[in-house]
Amino acid sequence: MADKVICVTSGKGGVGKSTVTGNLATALAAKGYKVVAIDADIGLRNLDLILGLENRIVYDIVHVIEGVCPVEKALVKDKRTKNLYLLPAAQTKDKSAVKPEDLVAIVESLRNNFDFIFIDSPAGIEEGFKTAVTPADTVIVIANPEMASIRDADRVTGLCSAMGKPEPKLIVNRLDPKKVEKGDMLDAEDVVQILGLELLGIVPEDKEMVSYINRGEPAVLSETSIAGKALRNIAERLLGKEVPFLELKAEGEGILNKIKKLFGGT
Amino acid sequence: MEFKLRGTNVIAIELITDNTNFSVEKIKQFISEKKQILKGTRFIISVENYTLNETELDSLIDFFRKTPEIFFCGFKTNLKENRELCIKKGIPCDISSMELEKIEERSAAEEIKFIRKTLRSGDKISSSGDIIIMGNVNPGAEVEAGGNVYIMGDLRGIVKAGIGKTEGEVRALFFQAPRLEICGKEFTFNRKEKYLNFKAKVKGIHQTIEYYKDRKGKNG
Repeated sequence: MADKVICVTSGKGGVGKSTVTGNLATALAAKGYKVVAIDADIGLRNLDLILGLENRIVYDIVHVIEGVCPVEKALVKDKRTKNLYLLPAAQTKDKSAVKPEDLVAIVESLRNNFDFIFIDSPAGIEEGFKTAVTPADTVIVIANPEMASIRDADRVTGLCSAMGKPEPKLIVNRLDPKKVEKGDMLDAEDVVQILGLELLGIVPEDKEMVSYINRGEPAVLSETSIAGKALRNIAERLLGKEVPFLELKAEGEGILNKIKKLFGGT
Repeated sequence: MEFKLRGTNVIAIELITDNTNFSVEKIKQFISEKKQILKGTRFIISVENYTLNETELDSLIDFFRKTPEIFFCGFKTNLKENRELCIKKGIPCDISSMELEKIEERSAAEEIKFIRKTLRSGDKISSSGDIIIMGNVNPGAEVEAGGNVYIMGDLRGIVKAGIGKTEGEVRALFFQAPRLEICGKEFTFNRKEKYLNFKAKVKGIHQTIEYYKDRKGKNG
């Protein structure tokens, strides 16, 4: 089995950390693995909305740390996807409420009961980010194909290696094949070239994503969503399976052949 | 005792003494006679095959202190004892390996840094001498060198080379950076500019930029 505790981070905000976390956790849970998603973005709670669990939260991570309740009681069980649990962030506190050692203790107490533990990191490189990365076995960096996001992802990668973590894996999110074709957007290949990280997957831009989030339904549960399909493939790759990269097409012409060759896909 | 004056390659005048009847007073006398010629020059005394004693050295140093028109740079010697004595007194000695280097821009004491990783955004590397990087310099990373910078990879970050010098160069296998500074001279590039086998050099007032062509065959 691949690494158990996975932290999803990006440096820059709004690139899709929480969406990817929620979807990957759901995809793995739907496959029968027992998964918990921890929202480490204290004070800016979002992951519950993406998973559609906002109305079921009673206790949160800060309650666990303060000893108000045991961690098992704070976990929100998803009714739709069996095996999926959420440990929500506190909305009324800020990042200082959770210290790295607190999160390590929580993760360690959950480790034996779950197959995968996802940690949704806050944006930025301050204490909140450090807290989220500290317990992780592996780190996934999300980058959009634009320079600001790449630079931040690069910074985060540097910080992760300074913290002694193995080299992060990369997900290129919100790639628009049409714009790439026109030369208005960087290619996933360019992103990989600059960051020099192992590419875990490319998630195409999907206009339907907003409505999935608004409905509280992870896109991976939908058969029709192209982003959902890409995320399901990433989940497969997390399990160590070799899945070919999606043929992201802009009017008939495949653009990812080079990357596929680069990463041994067929 | 005979004296010989000669120019050196470090733009100084060297007084060569011989070891027969070595006398500090004679040296002083000789210098005093030639004061007009030696005025304003860098001055070195070469003492070969003769061991100076402390009083002789003190007396010479004292003499030069009283002769400010001559810029005394130190001794040159082939004897270890002389050198040790001079060093004890804080006087430069063994000109060939010490004072020379100070006069030259690049000294052997400069460190050469060898980096075997990719510099990521936020990383900063500096060195008093050359830097060799086996990896990329990513956007947001900074490199500062007193000497040259050689990048066996892509350069997308900020490099300052040849700081405080008049000669320096930067080389990279691939270049796409917004700006570059060599010997305090600034080069700026626009976003679309990409170069392969990039080399930028500053030597005095000459600035050269050489490259093969850009990766996608555009600017070429």
